[in-house]
Amino acid sequence: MHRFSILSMSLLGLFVLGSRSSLVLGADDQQIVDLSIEDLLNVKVTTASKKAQILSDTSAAVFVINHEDIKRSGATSIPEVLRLAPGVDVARINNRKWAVTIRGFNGSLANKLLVMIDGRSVYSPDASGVYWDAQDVMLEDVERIEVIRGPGATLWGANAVNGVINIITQHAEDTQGGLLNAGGGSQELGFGSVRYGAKLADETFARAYFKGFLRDEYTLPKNDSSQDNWQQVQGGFRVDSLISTQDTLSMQGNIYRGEMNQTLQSQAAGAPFQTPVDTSGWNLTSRLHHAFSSTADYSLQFFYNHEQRDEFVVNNRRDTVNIDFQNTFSLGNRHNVIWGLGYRYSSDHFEDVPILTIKPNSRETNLYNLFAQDDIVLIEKYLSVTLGSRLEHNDYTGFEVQPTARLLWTPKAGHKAWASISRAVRTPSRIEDNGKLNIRTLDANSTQNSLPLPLNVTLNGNPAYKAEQLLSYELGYRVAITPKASLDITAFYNDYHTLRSSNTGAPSYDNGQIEIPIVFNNRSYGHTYGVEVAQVWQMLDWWRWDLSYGFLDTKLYNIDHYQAAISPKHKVSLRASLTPINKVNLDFWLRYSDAAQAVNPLSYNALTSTINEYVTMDIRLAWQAHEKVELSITGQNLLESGHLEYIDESYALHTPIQRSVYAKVSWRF
Amino acid sequence: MLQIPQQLRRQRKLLITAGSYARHFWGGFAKFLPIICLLICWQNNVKAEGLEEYAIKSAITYNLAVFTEWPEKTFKNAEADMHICVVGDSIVQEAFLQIAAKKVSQHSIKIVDITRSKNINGCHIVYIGNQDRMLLSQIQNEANGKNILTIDDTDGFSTYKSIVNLQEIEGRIRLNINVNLAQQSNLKISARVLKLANIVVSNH
Repeated sequence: MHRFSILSMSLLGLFVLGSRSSLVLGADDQQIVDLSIEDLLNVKVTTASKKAQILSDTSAAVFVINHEDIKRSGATSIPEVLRLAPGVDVARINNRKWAVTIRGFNGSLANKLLVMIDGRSVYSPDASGVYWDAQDVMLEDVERIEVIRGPGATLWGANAVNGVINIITQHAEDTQGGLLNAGGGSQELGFGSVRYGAKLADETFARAYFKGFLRDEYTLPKNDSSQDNWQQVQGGFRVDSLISTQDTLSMQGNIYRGEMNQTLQSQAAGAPFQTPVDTSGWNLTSRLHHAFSSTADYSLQFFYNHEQRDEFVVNNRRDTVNIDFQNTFSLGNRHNVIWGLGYRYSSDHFEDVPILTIKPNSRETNLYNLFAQDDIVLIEKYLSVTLGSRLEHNDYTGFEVQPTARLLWTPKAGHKAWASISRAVRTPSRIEDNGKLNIRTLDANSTQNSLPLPLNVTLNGNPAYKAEQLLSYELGYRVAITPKASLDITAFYNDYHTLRSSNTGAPSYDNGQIEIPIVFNNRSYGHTYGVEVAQVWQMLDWWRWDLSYGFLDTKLYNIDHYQAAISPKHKVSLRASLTPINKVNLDFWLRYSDAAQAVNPLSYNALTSTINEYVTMDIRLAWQAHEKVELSITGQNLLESGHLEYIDESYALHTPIQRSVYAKVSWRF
Repeated sequence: MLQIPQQLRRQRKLLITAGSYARHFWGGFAKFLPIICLLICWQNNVKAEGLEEYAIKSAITYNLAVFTEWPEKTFKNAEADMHICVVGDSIVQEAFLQIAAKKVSQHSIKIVDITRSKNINGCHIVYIGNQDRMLLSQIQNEANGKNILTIDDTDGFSTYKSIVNLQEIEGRIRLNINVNLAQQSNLKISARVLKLANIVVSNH
């Protein structure tokens, strides 16, 4: 191993020496300027290395998944697309459940990652996390997905602790005309989507879409069915209008309904058993943007979100209204200021289910926030600093302050370095405040309970529960190694306090059984550190490599009565995007994930189980058969018949993620 | 839904002790370094095929500067700098630096990155290369009537908002020139350029 490290270090040294060439203008470029305008309009344009050249100007760890990446990934759901980004830990639990996080603390409702779709938060305060089975978009209409690793709480608010994901759909003017997608295969039994965009008036564009899919249940190792099939329909619209040369207005809405099955393996009688999951919801978002001048503007955004979920472990509905105002302006030549304020009202109702009761059943909460950030140029073109903070008031923990300080240094063209210190909090969920979860009942006179009375172990919310706090230190460096290759490296150290833990309360006797209450508290703490690397290399005009690597180490303390999941230490993704012949795209995508620890509610001796490391590969072949028709075939998880990626902490049966193939046709009209 | 606390049983120690911590990091990390380095180290000596988009677009902008006549008062004197203000990412900015060494008659070219400030005061040409619709219409709004040649390359617009719009069609750049807007700004674009362009007539 030691020799291996030395070899690696010397390779790294070689790279550092070799990369000094930077972006110098070659002789070719000088000649281009001397071409006549007639020749310039005749010359063939290549944009191949754009992706490899671009260096973000942000003093944060940002990675952008663009429209083309999404298409060529062959992914059919948002969590699968997120595997493209470095540092994002995506683990599929079964057909309908994913655990998605950044920089650790994974789970099917990972609570330190904020996710927004066109400015609308889809992070649920029920149990703090994203219900991925209820989040869908027409992937063909997504412009880009911005993945920000590290705290983003100053701009985005609480719960943007370890990262923020912004899913941004295309402007309606960019989706004019019709698009029909249809396909099916071994796991994706059938899917279809149709979108039509039209010009409603001068400078007003609209689109509407409708999509649906049927996903087959996964097969368990002994050829049993996991009975987790999933069907869903969703529709929506978007209108974008330029009202005047200074005002734009966007409105969009979505409505969906999902029907799933799942197998639950709780301690309850009769388990494991199959039980349905029904989800539905709708939302409306509108955004007005007014520019006073090119250096000052404001935007006003409103959204309404209704969601409903009926399953064995939770049965609830939630309505959220959110209003945000933002203003940006420059002060002199050095200051760019953004400030804003917002209000969120959320109303929920929980039905009692055998496993979970929430008292009170209904609750209304208010959230107020105010933030300001100034981006200051210290030395023109070389050095700038960003200072900002957010003050937020929530009904659970009162006031929370989330500041950030960031430095961006451009030593020379093609090099960017940045550093930051930020604070972010994860606010308590409804369940951590008001919930009561029946974890397990131990029968009387059994091996686990020698008492003559049954023991009922419950997990209880705690009104004194505090927000989890993070202080994060980050360093980043981006370099355009050659005009065809770039490298982005980030290192971080995260210091967490008041993390979730629990203690055992006094047993009580009730109704012929003894209850042992376990109560949430904030006694755990710890730290993580890691490195994330993203590299793009346009090797040939028709062949691009995308490599990402993430290293993460997690250390938590005071977890004697509580266990958090430990994310994989190493994750690698290597993609090759080829256009070997005209109109044919070929993509290979190799992924490696190191072993992880997942919380396993059913294991008796330890609360976590080890998920073995795995290597898997997807391949996609697409042919532009006609100007308007693309045919493609995608194979997923091809290297083995199935591999386990995660275990659900809320009793849903985990299944091996199977090898699968599907074919798809896309027709533009 | 919820992570379950460990209760009434012994916990298995997951985490390694501090002593072996660093070794684990380097050992594990080192495994992957060669992959990263191999990719990095082999990527020199690969020759470009075709010309880069913004190398062409900045050269076109230079040509437009040469073939456009500004009113006399626009420049303080014959040797005053011509300010070409550019909105765009690092690729756009670096491509424009190639024309910074050129001259337009006796005017030296000065490239000004206004991506951050968006301040168009003092610009003779504003190039908007970031596909931002709102900014485009806002800058045109502010530039209108001033002697500023606005150029953008926003894709697939149904109505053009700058004086010159560059569109890539079938791998080549096409020029759309709004002659009304050019007139309002008192800019005379040479017939040599106009005959190569698609002429847009609108007051928008």
